[in-house]
This record gives sequence, structure tokens and C-alpha cells, in this order.
Amino acid sequence: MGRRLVRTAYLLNGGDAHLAEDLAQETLGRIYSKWRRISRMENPAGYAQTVLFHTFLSHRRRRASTEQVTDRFAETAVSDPDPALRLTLLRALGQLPVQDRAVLVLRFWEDRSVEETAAVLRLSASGVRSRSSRALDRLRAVLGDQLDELPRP
Amino acid sequence: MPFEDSITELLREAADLAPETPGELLADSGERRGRRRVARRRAAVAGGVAVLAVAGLAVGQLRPGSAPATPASQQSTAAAPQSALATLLPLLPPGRTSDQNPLDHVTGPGPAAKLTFDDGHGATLLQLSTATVGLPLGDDTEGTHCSDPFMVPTEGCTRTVRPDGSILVIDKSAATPTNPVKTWHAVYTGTDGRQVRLDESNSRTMTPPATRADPALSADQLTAVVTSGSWDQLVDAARPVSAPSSGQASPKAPQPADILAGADRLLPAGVQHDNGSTPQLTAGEAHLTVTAAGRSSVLLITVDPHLGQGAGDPRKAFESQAQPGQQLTRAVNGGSSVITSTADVTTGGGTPATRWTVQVMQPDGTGVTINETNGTNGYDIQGGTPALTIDQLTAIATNPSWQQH
Repeated sequence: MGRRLVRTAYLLNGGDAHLAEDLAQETLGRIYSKWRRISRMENPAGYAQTVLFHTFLSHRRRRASTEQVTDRFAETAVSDPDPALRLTLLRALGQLPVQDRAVLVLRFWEDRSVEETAAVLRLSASGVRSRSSRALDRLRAVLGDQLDELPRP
Repeated sequence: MPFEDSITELLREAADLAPETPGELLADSGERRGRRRVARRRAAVAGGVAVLAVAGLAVGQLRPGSAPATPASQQSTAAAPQSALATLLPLLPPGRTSDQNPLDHVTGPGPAAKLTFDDGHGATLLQLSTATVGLPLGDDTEGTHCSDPFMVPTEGCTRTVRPDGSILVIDKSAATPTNPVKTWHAVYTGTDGRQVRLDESNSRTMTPPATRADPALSADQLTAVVTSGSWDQLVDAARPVSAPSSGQASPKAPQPADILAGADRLLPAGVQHDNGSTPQLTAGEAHLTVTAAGRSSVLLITVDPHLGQGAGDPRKAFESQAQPGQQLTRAVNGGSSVITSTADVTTGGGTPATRWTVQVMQPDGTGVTINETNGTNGYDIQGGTPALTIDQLTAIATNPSWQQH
């Protein structure tokens, strides 16, 4: 479960290893006191993932109001010269609005349905669809023609 | 392939770059944070004054013979994690900072901060963290030793015991042919149990690409930050709200030499092994190189006598770690729970590598994990079939001799 949490947290944090570990630890800390109840659930790992998304969003929300304005966007322009597509993806993820990012990771990494994603993030199904399509558009714009490099499954 | 499928595929590849945080480490620190949450919540219910009183008490308990603890009321504001960032900024050499991040949901081990620093020659990621360690400082105090050069490519490391007994470690990891990112750190462990650590990377994210040849701060500059008296108030205020449970009653993690001796007894006949020439210092962990049928692999063996402890049902928690693609054998008839995986992992450089893992929770709760990778060290992992089979690894990891009696 831990490994999966770190990986999900890593995607949510746009490839920031330190923030990812921090988020995974905070998630485990939040479920620690409820473990007796959680361990009787059918899918404790799924519950942990849900807590992870809530922790991510509440933390980001809190931080958004205190965060100092920086020149981050200017310095990490989308015309990224790095050839590694997955690094480009991580950086692009990191620049999406946090809720769009959460939608994308739930839909395409966690493989959750629109309805499940809506339930986890407390959004409407149409809200999930519009955020998902907006996020995909942004990624398509960044990754665009590089996608041909992807290995075919 | 439709764009959505490409994204799914790419997310999987990107997730492979996530840090390989050992599960036990994550669980331990998660549990610590959980305990602190519970303690804070209870204290909050009992009244705001209570939590401060407990904090004051803990300071007194942790520092026997020291000056009386500062009245708790004076410490309350210093506990805000923002202070780590505010304390760090004036200690840095001249340069521009951005992406300042107080890591404000870090509630343990202590306040932390993270920012990008640029002295005009490229960005350096700085990560500051604080913690409290148990006293007295000993050989097994975490963070007081250099990294094992077998496990981390190193450019050099110095460990200094200062006249007052405090310990300073400056550790510099090296770039490798596949990873240009170096991470250097300084850790200061004071005789009052404080630990102040500053990590720096010649990257914005600790992953490629590198932004410059070396991180910006020199060893002296790192030292000046972590040994500064500016941390006094912050470190005092951040001491655990409850005294850490004493390790006396429960079994201690075995020393590397004990683990190597155990491996020596349990390796199948005909398997040659080499414990390497670097000193192994991490309690509960040991590595060795095994050669069988002309193939050489590195085994990393971790023994955790405490895996079966904790709230709820630790065995169920252990078994629920199994991911799709991993093989879980649940404990039957009082046996071990076993999770195995044979994975082709992708390293930072993009070369496919092989990692076989067996995680075991023995009947008494002892945890044994064996990682097997190909290569001549613990970080430059190669592809191919490892020397020992999963069954052989499982036989070693489930052997009852790892249990302490």
C-alpha cells in the first residue's frame, strides 16, 4: 500500500519526491488512529488513496492562500528541452490546477470511473468531465507530437 | 493509440520515477504523525492549556539535568512550521530564493522547509528538516553516520564528533553516468537531541535534469546553517508532545553483522557470497553480493522486529500492501505472510533493470525483506535474471532464525 501511495502522491505533486513522501506519510498519519475500523473495510488500500486525495487538496487549498508569488511559471516554460517525455509530463502535471490534476490522476492512473472520481473529490460528474477534458487539452498541447515516442503496449 | 491511453501509459512510466521509500519507514513515520494527531486532538479537547503543559513536560523529561524548561506559554508560537522557513532564510548566503514552501502540513518529525536558491549560477533545491532523536547519542542514532558508499554513489563524506559531543555529518552523493543529480547534505545532531538537516541538489526537483554541476552551498556554508543557534527556539518548541516510547522493553533491530551471519547460515549450498569492504552501519539492514551459476546479484536484507506491533491488525495491514502484479501468500496455520514481486523497474536513466523482492511477516510479527538486484552495487541496477530464485529468497526470509527470543 505504501509504495502505491508514494507513487500516486508523486504524480499529484508533479514529480516532487520530497512532497510526495511527505504527503504519503501525512496520509498514513491520518488513517493511523482509525486503523481498527479501516482494517475491517473491504478495501483499506482504496480508502487510504481517498484520504491521500483529500489530504492533498486540503493542504493545497490552505497553502494557496499563503503561498508567495514566485516566478516559477516563467522559469519552467512548456517548451521543455528535456527529451524524457515522462519528465515533461510530470512538469506539465505540476502546472495544472490542483483539482484538475487530482481528476486526471484518479481517472487515468487510479483508473476510477467518472462517478467514482466525482465521489472522491466531492465534485459533480459533469464537473469531473469538464476538468478532465480541460486537463487533457492542456497535456495534449504540451506533449503533442512527442507522444509518438511512447511504446505501444 | 487514443490520447487517453497514452496518458495512462505515460503516467505509469512517470510513477516509476517516484522515490523508493521503504514501506517500513513510511509506516513508522506515518504512525508517529498519527500518534501526534491523537495526542493533539485529546489535548485540544481537554483544553488549549493542556497541550502546552504536555509539551513543557516532555521538554523536561527529555533533558534530564538541564536548565528548567522554558515556560510553555512562551513556546507556543514558535511551533508554527512557517518558522523553519523564516529561520532558514537569513542563514543563507546571498542569492535569490523562490518556490518557498514551509511544508506546513508536516507535523513530525519536526518543522521543515523547502525552497529554490539561486546564487546566479543556476538553481539549487534546498530542503531543511528538523527532528528530535533519543538520548544519549549512540552508535545507532539515526543520521549520525555517513551513507554506505555501496548503496549510494558518493563524492565524499566527513563525520565529525565535536568537542561537546555533538555530531556533524557532511555527505555528498555523486552523479552517475545515468543520473547527473547530486544531493549533498549536512546533519547536525546536538547533545540535546536536536537534529537539523539541510539537503541540497543541483536540480529543482532532486530528479534530472541537473541545473548546474554542483549544488550551490559549500560544506562550510551547509555547516553554518545547521549548527546555527537560530534553531534553538524552534527545536525546543517542536519536541514530541509525548515522550518517545523507550526502546528498552522491545527487541532492538539486529546489527548488520548479525544479519550477515544469519545470511551466511541460510544461503543455499554452492552460493558464494561477499559482504563487501565498506563498513555497514545501519541497524536492521545489511547487504551482500551473491554469486550462483555464474550470475552475481546484490541482496539487501532488512529485518524489523517491530513489524507486528502497532494499532489495529498489523498482519492485515501488511497483507494489504500487496499490489496488482505482486504475489501474496497469506499466513496459514500460524505461518508467515509473504509478498513477492519480480519487476522490471526503470531507473532514472531509462535503462530497464530487474528487482526481485520478498517481503515477509513471520508468525511472531518479525518483518524480513530481501531485495535482489543485478549489478556490483546497490544503486546502479542492471537487467537480467538474478542469481537466486524467488523461492530461494523466500526460504531465507521465512526462516524462523530471524526472530529474536
